[in-house]
Amino acid sequence: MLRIVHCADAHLETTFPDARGGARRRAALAEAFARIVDLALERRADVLMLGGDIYEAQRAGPQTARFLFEQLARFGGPTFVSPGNHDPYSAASIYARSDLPPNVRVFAEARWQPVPLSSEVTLYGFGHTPAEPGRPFADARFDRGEIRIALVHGSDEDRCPHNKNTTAPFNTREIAASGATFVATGHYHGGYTQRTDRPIFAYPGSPEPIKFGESDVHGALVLDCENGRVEVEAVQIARTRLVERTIDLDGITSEHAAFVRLDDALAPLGANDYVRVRLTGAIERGTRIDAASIVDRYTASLGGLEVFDESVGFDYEAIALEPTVRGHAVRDLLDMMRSDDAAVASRAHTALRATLAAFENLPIAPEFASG
Amino acid sequence: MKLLDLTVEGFGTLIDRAFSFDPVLTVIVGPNEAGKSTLARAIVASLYGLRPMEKAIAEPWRAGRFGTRLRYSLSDGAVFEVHRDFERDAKGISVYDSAGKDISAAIGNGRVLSPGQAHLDLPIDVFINAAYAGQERVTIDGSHSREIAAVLSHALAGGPREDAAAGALKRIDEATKLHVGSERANATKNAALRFAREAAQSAHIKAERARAENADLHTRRAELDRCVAEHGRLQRAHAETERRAQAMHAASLAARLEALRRIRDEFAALDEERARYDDVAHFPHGAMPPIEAGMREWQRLDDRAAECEAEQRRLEACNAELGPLDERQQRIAALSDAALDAMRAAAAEADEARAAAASAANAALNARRTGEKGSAFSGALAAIAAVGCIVSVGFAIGHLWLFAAIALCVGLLAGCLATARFYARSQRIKQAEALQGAADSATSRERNAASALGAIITEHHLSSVDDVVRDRAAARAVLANRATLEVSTQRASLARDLASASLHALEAALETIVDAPNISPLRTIERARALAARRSERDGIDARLKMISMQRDAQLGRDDEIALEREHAALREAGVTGVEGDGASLRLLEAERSDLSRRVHELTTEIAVRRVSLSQAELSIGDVAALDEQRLRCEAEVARLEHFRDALKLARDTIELRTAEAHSKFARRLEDYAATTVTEISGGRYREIKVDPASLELRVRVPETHGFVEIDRLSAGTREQMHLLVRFAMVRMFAEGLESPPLLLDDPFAFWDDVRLERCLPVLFRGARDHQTLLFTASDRLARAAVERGAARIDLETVTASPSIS
Repeated sequence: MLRIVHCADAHLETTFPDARGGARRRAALAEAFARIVDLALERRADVLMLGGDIYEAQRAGPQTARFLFEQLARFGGPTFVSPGNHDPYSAASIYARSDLPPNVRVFAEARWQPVPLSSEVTLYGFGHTPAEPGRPFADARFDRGEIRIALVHGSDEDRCPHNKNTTAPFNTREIAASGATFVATGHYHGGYTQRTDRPIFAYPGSPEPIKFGESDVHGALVLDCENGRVEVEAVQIARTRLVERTIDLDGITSEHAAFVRLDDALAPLGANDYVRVRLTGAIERGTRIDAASIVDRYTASLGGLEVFDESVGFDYEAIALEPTVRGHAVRDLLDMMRSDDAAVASRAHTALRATLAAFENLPIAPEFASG
Repeated sequence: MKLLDLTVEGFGTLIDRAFSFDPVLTVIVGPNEAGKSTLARAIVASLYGLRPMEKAIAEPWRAGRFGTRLRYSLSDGAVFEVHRDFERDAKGISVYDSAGKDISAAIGNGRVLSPGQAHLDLPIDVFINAAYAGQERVTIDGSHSREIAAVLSHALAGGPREDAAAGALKRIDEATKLHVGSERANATKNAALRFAREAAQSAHIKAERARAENADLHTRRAELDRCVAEHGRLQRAHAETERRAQAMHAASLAARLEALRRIRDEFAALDEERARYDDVAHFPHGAMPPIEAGMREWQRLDDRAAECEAEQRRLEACNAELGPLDERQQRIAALSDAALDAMRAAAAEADEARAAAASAANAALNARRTGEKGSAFSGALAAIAAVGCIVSVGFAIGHLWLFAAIALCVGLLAGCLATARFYARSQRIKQAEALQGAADSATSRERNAASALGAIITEHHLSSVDDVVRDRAAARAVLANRATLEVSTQRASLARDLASASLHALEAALETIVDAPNISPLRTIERARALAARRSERDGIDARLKMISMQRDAQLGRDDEIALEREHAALREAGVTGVEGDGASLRLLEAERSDLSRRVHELTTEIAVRRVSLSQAELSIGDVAALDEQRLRCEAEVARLEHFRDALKLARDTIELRTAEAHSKFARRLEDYAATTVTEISGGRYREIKVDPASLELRVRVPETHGFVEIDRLSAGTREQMHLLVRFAMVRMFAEGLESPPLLLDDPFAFWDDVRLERCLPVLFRGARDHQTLLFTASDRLARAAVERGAARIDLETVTASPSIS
């Protein structure tokens, strides 16, 4: 039996502009990658595979290279890297350095290259270069060995969100036509395994969550190759969580009441949780909701906090019926908020809050823009 | 609002006066300076208070309390009384309801209590520009158009009072200024958006700089890799050169060892040959040259002694042949050189005296002969002279004067010549006689000299001085030969002694180097020479041995032969095969190896330096991710502020749009109200009036062009007419949605003509039915006309104090 540990999308040196604690989250990503190497050593893996986007080419420096090389050398066994769109192979990439550990082989070209791992298993690797590689499985034919594992960084186009561009896209039909037994891939940060009667391809997910909205699977895959089959086990590696909470402040009349509800909602969360909070509900007009002070209050207990105040202090529809300038203005802005253009609707929402605050002589603050 | 009555305790010229007003129209009549305008201002001040600049003007002219009491009713029937104490400014006001209850706190806003604002809902500027038209102050002040328009729109909509579009716009502007700020490049505060942009740009620059440094690291690392690769290549080349050098070194070692072996053999052979010359080993170096010199000296001295002895014998033979000298010869020989010289001088003097005597004799003879010559010619000349004289006499006698003269001249000439010649002859004779005397004297001296010389010669029995000289020389030669013989004899003796001494010295020297007793010096020398030759040959062998030794030293250098042998053996054991190479190729190889070694060393140093530099550069590089994160946060803040700015602009635009719409509505209503009266007042000339809702500027349609013109292009009277009409319309509109304010007309018609006034009064009176009107005028005619239409009249000059109302 040949045992392979596969991971991808470590995104070392990525940025986290949305919530605070970027440095800690980068450190958490590196620690998670080290835990994957620990996993490979614990499971006595024969091979370690990296499915791309291990680091951010735009930001990776000497420390990144040292850390990565130390970890790969620590594993010591054959290690195969299929560069992704964030760490494409080039003369300037970390993978091209002369001090790359000797146990590491990088698939430096955007074409399939076979490497026999054992008498039964052959690995086909496909690497990204700075140019978009197109569809990697379009004309691929794998015929060496009983088990043919493809390693590539690409998009499962059946699950690609509509507003996202694909990179090296593929689908189940192409994989079946190529003759690959299993495709170990990377790109999507939330891991999942595509199966029919057997595993077809799998994303291990990023070792730690990177963006809000990702699925909860973040770790590595352990592949056992035996008797013509590949068994896939997803191992959770992540220790941090990205948590989104919507807290209803309906009916509150004071800032204190808002904090009480926030305390209740955030109490179960800890220092490894990076939280995005949306405040909703109709509150008493003039009740102070200060996002900055909320963030300050929970900074020590949470990894990071982001607050979006969408609470409402006015009855918009009732005001819109007033035969006054204010009523007419509110009516106009409510109409604009129903626009299909999200930017127009958002701007109208902020303008509505500012308009009512202006008429009521309440503070008008840029925090309105975060709603 | 209906003004009921006013008590003026002291306000300008009005002191302790009381006025009651008709709820419809009151005309207050009085001449100039009667206090009409003061009364109007007192009403306004009672409702709104005094502004700081107005207080000094309004102070009572005479002593008294600076205050008023105003009573008024509202449309709902409520009656209020305002007590003002202007000395206390804002604190000097109290408002009472009809029950006498102080409601000041209820209607005030906490800071300012203004009954006009509270009950009319009109700011003071709106009240003044709508309801208070003074003399030459009928024109509406456009700077308050926004407030007036807001009130009009409120009135039109019938409320609500909380609407405050102007305030909302102001607060939005303040929020924009506070949170977005100015985008001017030189703004140092209130420029949050620009600061955020600058922060984003700064973070971007820092991140890009760190990225560039990171890229530079790649370049440095590539350069280091290149150096390492070159270092490896050079090291391999150096090793190959080393191997070749070892091979050539092995060959060189073998050659050196072979040469050393040859040298060693040659040395042994020479050493063996040298042993055959051991008998002269102690023959002293340099002994022969002095012996040879001594030999040559002895031979020279011996030859010299022989020569001296031969000379001696020759002189002895010569001496014997000359024999001994007699006495005369000895005297002659002894004749000194001085005597001989004296002898020679005497002979010479005699010869000289003889020659002088002969010469003098000859000269005397010649002189004599010369003196005797020419005497015949001189006689002939004398004869010719005599004849001539005679002939002349003859011709004179014959009177042949010419011939006489010629004959005389010839005779005279011949006589002169004859005389001269006679004189010369006598002189030569005298000279010959003198010469003859000298010749005689010389002859005498010659004779004396010859006598002296003869005496000397005779003494030596010789005939001449030459004989003396010859004999003296011969005698002296004999004497000299004898002396030479003596010297030669001595010299021969000396030479022989020297030769003997030299021989002894030579023999002594030979004894020191040759043990050869009883043999001749010449044979001894021959033997010494043979020994010296052998010694020389032995020295030659020694020189060759030295040369060989030097060759060996040259081959060995500082090396040890045994060490070379061991090294060669080690190389052979290591499998190094000798490669023949000449010196040039070996030197080239050595130079190449040295160059490679130097380059390897240089590259080693360069690699070390580059590694240190790279390491330092790696340490100094910034955290690109953190910098990017900072940049993204700044950009997000910029986007948020831009969104906020756009939203505020949208809010502002929306409010303004809706405000403008509201204003346009009141403007239309205002135009309608004004249009009903403008035709009447203008006598049908103007029928339509337009009001700009934003600026409240007026335009009227003129019949000439049927177009609208700016009201500024009309006459001053017409302009005031139009503004007064708009004021009427505004007060009418206030009455629709708000509390109707009283209309205070402070003699606005003072400069109107009668026709225009006649047209206006009906309008005024009609309007007074809707809103209380107080008309202040100095015109009794106008007052009477008003009274005829039901107006109450107050003559200021007859009004007196009235009891206060409480």
